[in-house]
Order: sequence, then C-alpha cells, then structure tokens
Amino acid sequence: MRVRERLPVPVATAVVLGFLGLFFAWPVAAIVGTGLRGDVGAVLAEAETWRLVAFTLGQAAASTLVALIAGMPLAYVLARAAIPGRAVLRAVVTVPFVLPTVVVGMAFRALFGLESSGGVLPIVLANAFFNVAVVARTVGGLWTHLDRRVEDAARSLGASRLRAFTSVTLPALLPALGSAAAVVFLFCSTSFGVVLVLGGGQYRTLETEIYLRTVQLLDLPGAAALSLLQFAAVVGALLVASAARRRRETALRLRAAVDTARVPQGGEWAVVAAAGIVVCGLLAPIVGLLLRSVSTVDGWGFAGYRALLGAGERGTLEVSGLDAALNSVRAAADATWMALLLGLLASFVLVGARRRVVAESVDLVLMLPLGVSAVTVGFGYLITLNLLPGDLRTSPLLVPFAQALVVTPLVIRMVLPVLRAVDDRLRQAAATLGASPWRVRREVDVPLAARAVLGAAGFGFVVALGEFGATSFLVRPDAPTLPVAIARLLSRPGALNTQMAYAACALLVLVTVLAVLLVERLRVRSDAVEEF
Amino acid sequence: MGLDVRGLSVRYGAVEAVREVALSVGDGEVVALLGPSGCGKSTLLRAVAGLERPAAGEVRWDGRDLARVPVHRRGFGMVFQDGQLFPHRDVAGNVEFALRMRGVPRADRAARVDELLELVGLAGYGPRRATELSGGEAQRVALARALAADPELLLLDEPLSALDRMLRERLAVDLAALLGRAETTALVVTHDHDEAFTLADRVAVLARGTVLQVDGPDRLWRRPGDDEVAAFLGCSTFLPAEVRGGVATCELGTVEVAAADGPARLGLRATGLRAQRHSGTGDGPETTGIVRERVHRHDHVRLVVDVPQRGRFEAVAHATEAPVVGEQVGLVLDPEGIALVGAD
Repeated sequence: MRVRERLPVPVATAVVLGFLGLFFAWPVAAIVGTGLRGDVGAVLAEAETWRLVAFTLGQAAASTLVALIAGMPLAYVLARAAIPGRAVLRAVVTVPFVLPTVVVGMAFRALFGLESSGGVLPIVLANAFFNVAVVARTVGGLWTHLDRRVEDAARSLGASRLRAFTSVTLPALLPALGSAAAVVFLFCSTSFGVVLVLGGGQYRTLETEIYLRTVQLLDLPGAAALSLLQFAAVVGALLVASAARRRRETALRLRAAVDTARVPQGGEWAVVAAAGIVVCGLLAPIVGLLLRSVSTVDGWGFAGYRALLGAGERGTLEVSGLDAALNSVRAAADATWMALLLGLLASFVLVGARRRVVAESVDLVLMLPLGVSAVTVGFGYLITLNLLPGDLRTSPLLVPFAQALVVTPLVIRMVLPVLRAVDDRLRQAAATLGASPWRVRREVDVPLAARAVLGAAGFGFVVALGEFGATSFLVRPDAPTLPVAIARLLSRPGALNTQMAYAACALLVLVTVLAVLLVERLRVRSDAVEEF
Repeated sequence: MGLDVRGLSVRYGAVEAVREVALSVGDGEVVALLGPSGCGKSTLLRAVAGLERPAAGEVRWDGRDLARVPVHRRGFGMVFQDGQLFPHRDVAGNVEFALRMRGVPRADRAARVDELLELVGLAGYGPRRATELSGGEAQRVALARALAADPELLLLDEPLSALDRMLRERLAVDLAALLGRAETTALVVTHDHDEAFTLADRVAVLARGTVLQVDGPDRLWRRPGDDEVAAFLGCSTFLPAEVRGGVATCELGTVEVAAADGPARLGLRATGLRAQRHSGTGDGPETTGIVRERVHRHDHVRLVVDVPQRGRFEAVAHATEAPVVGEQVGLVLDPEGIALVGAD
C-alpha cells in the first residue's frame, strides 16, 4: 500500500474546494449569471467596451514587454553572476511585487509629479515595476537549474558567448519566459490600484470600469458583462501559463542549483550593468515615495506621520490612521492563517496526486483567484453572501476571507515546488522504518517545507496587508484598512490628506521591506524550481 | 520460514514489470536479485517492502500473508540506491529514526546508535550532518539506519551502485561480512554479478519480469540454466560439444569438464579462450587464428581473433607478451572461463 493512498485526501480536498466554492466560485458565478441575464449584447456592441478592452490588453502587453526586458538582466545576475550582494539584490527585486498596489500608484505619482491628471506611461511603468520580480525570479529560478556545461559545450564547438546564449540558453529558458509572461500579462490586465491611482479618470481598464460601474453608476448588469469578458481573458492567460509550466517540468533535465554562478567575463559585465540600471529604476519610486512622505509645503517634516494619529482633514476618515493600520494588521493576520491552512492542505493534496491531469487541473483552479479580478470577487460577495445564514456581509471575517483567496495561490506557489522537489523515496524510506502515513508527513514533508511555509506566511501577510481590490468593496466605512484609507484620503482635497496618504504608504513600504528581508533570510536551499 | 513470494505480478498500466515470480528466502539467508536494468528486480523488491501493490500473487512472511500489512508495519528494513538519508537530521537522527517510530526511550536509542555506527565503521559520526557525508559514508549510514530496529528482513536496492568502483568493491566485501556476522535475512537487488556473488548465498537471475534461475553463486557461474542466463553472466560464444571421460571436444579443441558422457553445450567467456604467440612450427595448439582487435584490460589483454572457417571469437592473452593486431596466434580452451549451459 502506498504512503499517500491512506491519507484522508478526500477530507482535505473537500475543505479546500468547499472554501473555494463558497468564497470564489459562487460569487464569480453569480456575477457571470447576472451578466448573462442582463443585456450582454448591448454592452458588447458599445464601441466604448471595445476601447476599454483594447486599452486593457494594450497596456498589459506593453507592461509585460517592459517587465520582460527589465527582468532578464536581473534573472541573469540572480542565476549566473557570482558577484557580491546578490542576496540584497534578490530582496530589492522582490519588494515591488509585494508592495500594495495603491502604494505603487502613489510612488509613481510622486515620481512623475502627477497630482491629479493621469498618464499612460506611468501606468505601464508602474505595472512593469510590480512584475519585474515575477520575470526575474521565475526565469532566474529556472536558469539556476540549467546545466551550465551545455553552454560550455556550445562554446567549445565554436559559438560566441552571445550565440551560445541565443542558441542554447534562451530556448531552454523559453518555458519560464512563457510562464512568466503569461502571469505578468494576467496581473497587468487585472491591475486595479495602479490604474485607479494613475489613470486619473481618463485612462480606464476593464477592472477599474467594473468598479466604477458598480460603485458609482450602480450599473450592475453592465459591470457583470465586463466581468464576464475579463474572466474569459484570465482563463486564457492561465491556460497559457500552465502549458508553459508543464513544458518546463518535462522538457528539461534540471540540475541541483549548485555553483552554476561564476564571475562575469567580458560582455557579461554589460548585462550586469543593465541589471544595475534596472535596480536603480526599481529603487527610484520607493525612494521618491519616502522623500515625498517627509516633504511638506513647509519643507521637510513629519506632519503626515503625525496626522496619522487623527482622521484626516475635516474628518475625511471615520477612524484615525492608526486605527486603520490596526484594522489592516488584524485582517491580514486572519487572512494569513486562513491562506496557510488552505494552501498547505491544497499543497499536500496536489503533491500526492499521482494522475498528472488531476494535479494540473486542480492546480489551475487554485490559481484562478490570483487572476480573476479581485473587484469581481468583491462584487460577487455583495450579491451572494447575504443568502447565507448569519449574514456574513457584516462579519469582520469577510475581508480576511477575500484576502485569503488572493493569498492562497501564493502560498501554494511557494510551498508546492518545495514539496514536489522532495524525493518520494525519502517518504518511502520513512515508511519502511515504521512511520505511518501521517507520521511521514510530520517527519519528512513538514520539516523540509517549514522554511518555505514561514516564507509564504511572511509574503502572504504583506500581500493581504496591501490587498486593495476586493477589500475596497467589502470593508465597512467605519473600519477601513490602511490601503482603503489611503485611497479615500487621496479622493478628498486637502494638502494634509495627501501628506497623510504618503506617510501611510511609507509605513506600508517599511513593513513590506521588513517582511521581504525576513522571507529572504528564510529562503530554502532546495532543488525546487522557483515560480510564482 | 522466512520470506515466501508466490505467483507475484506487478503491473504499471499495461506493462507487466513483474510476472508470476516465485521466490523464497530462508531465515538468515542472503538472496540476490540479479538482472539487467529494467528487468523488474527493483519492482519485485519494492513489492516485498509493500511500496508497490501486486496485481496478483502473494508475499508471505513466516507463513503470514502480508497483503493487508502496510509498509510501516512490515518490520522490513530497506536501503535505497542513493541512501535517501533525511537531509534535515544529523547522522544519529537518521540512524535512530526507526527506534523513535517504535517509541524507544532516548537513552536506549543513543546506545543503539553508537553500537550501529561502530558496526558500520563510522563510530563518532553521530553529530555530523547527513548532507555532508561522502557517498560511501552515506550508504553506511543508510545501512545502519535500516538495521537499527532489528528488521526481520533487510531489503537492499542497488545499495552500492551509486559509488565508484574501488569503493564499491571494498564495501561489497564489508557488507557481506556484516550481513554474515549479524545473520541477517536479506534480499539484495543488483545488476553487477560480482556484487551478487560477493553478497549472496543464492542468486536469482531475472529478465523481463520473470525469474530465470535461482542457484548458489558457484553453480550459477558454472552451470547456467540456459543461453540467456549464460550470456548475462558473460558467455559470448556457445559451442556444441561431446563429452568422453571428463573431456569435452568441440570445434576449437578439447577441455576438461565436470559432466557426464554425452552431448553438452559449452558457454565460453572471453577468458575461456587463451591466445598464445604462435611459433609457426607444428608443436603449438591445433587451432590458430589472426588477431583483429586488441584492447588492454587491467590485468590482461582482450583480443578478437579470426579463426579460418570457424568465425570470430573473443580471447584473452597475458599482458606481458600480448600479440599485436595481424599476428597469428594459437588458441587453447581454459576450463576456468567455460560454463556448461543447461546440462545436468
């Protein structure tokens, strides 16, 4: 009898699918249903709809391209260049990915000096800024595991360094590039906070339009029709990403990530220099934001920070900034434990699934919440959860539920590769030594994945802390989270409000940086190929 | 009583990796499963351990059917090809694992760990990290770990094949001594006949999922059951012969064999045919040929010799006076390198 067949897999599966069904599938299906009942045809016939679609996809494609170009030199340095400070580099690259979207929007506003009007360039750059980490880490992760001797063989056969890269390395990296591009495209096309903050009302994507129509125009059928459109695009991008991932796992003979890095030579220094430029580009908005938070109309000062103790100019917020921060921490903590519970259960089920097709489809379904717009989900909650007993819509757990949905796929992406990299024979060895199936999990899987789990908890916490799309829908006005409070402060006039928003952003940046440093310290050295 | 495998079959989808295998291992006996890669020997071992579910047949221990006994309750120790030490535990933590699973108190565990590390020649290695061991040390620790809870049966899956040749030969001897001293009942999978013959009391030769022959090493080497077993054990040439009074006569000459009078089939290994420089006068061996290829081995030279009207044969010569390519040599049959195939 095999180790895993005796696990109560059905129970774990039921818990995961039950949660997903209740807090994801049902709300999304309800939205889709509403859209179908409304006049979808009319919405689709509007030229405005297609302008939105074109702008959404166009800015996503441009952002993806920028992220790929900027991410490649970083991937090279992370994987292959033996230069000092690579650990710091990893952290610097990672911070933008987990920064709250609102904060990134604000950072680019400060950088471009936009205070009210929007622009396409800031939107594209901000989206790319976010996702450079996805490219660098996904591609770099695979690159670390590529056998360097294949390149050496090509060089010995007369290929120049560039030729060896284009003819040997690049094709081997294509699956990771494809996977990263699809995921980045997905994130960019559903990006909400950035477009909301930087679009300035002129530039709208499907995601912000859904929000606008729901919250301000109360055009629910129209919003639902747009959600439907977006859902189709998301599923398409996820399928591409999943296909690319499959190719990566099967098409390559991977090596353990040992010593594939060496000191750059000749032209490789140019790539290192390019990576340096990208790093400066990543640091600029963050530094700009921090500077902006301490520059007031009267020169340098901490007025914004002091103002966080209050509720903003003329009581813009119903609570103080401090209370909003505490709300954020509480909600994020709840979301983190929920996401860990779900993500770990799902990972254990997935790593045990022996039929590839099953594992892959479950994997895909679990990734959906990452791609489906948080706005759609939040909107779905509004129209479904009142049907449950005890009206969850007023429960303080509602926001954590939605955040957990966004964080769970991240937990899975961080833990599952580590578990998959564990040789099954290690578990079998434990079994032959007398460990029962549950004991095998406790003695082998848990210790080996512990660091990845802690890392996922850290990441998950900051992502939940910064979650904006779904939270902005669900949060009660008398208990806003910090990102929601920031958005509210921005939407109201007043220099102090703006100053306060920047100070709050700076605080979120600090928390994020601390969390990323913690995660990097805990990083697992294993044979797992990193992915997002 | 020991292990008794009856009519055991294991399928992977449409592929039948093990087909109706019958095999027994007596108490204190070491049996080797020998065969080329992909012959199903590891699958058979894993089915005995309980890691593969048989499609048919049964595995019995001391007469009891193990079909409903899960891996962790069988009480068999297993050593994997590449150790599979727990990377997050030190050497002592690995060795004491089975004892911990059985709830043995800490003090007793520590004593047993010291005893086992001493046994495998790694005294004092307890606090070392499992990931810092060399291949040979890791396999010794894996062995100590498998032996810790006094398994009724020890299963070894290619325990030495991940090691380099020198180390493998030395460890095989150590392992044989250790298994003998502890009077362990063991089943060893290997593709290397030297290893099988060093370790085992009896050797089962497998091919395509079935057992072709089970015999003691000496008998298996001298009397392989058929051409396939003989070929796997190194015979490259098969010749019909006629035995009269302990001497077999075949087309390459005569040789002493321990067989009854009548027809027989000789299996010649390269060492069964010795080449000597031919003087050209009439007093050399009757069979002569021309050397076509020549390769140096560690202690001899291996040749391919063309014998007119007979064909090409593998032969060996002393390294000191090895003939060169194109030279004429005389060929003499050497009983040390000749097996009697199929006969009884």
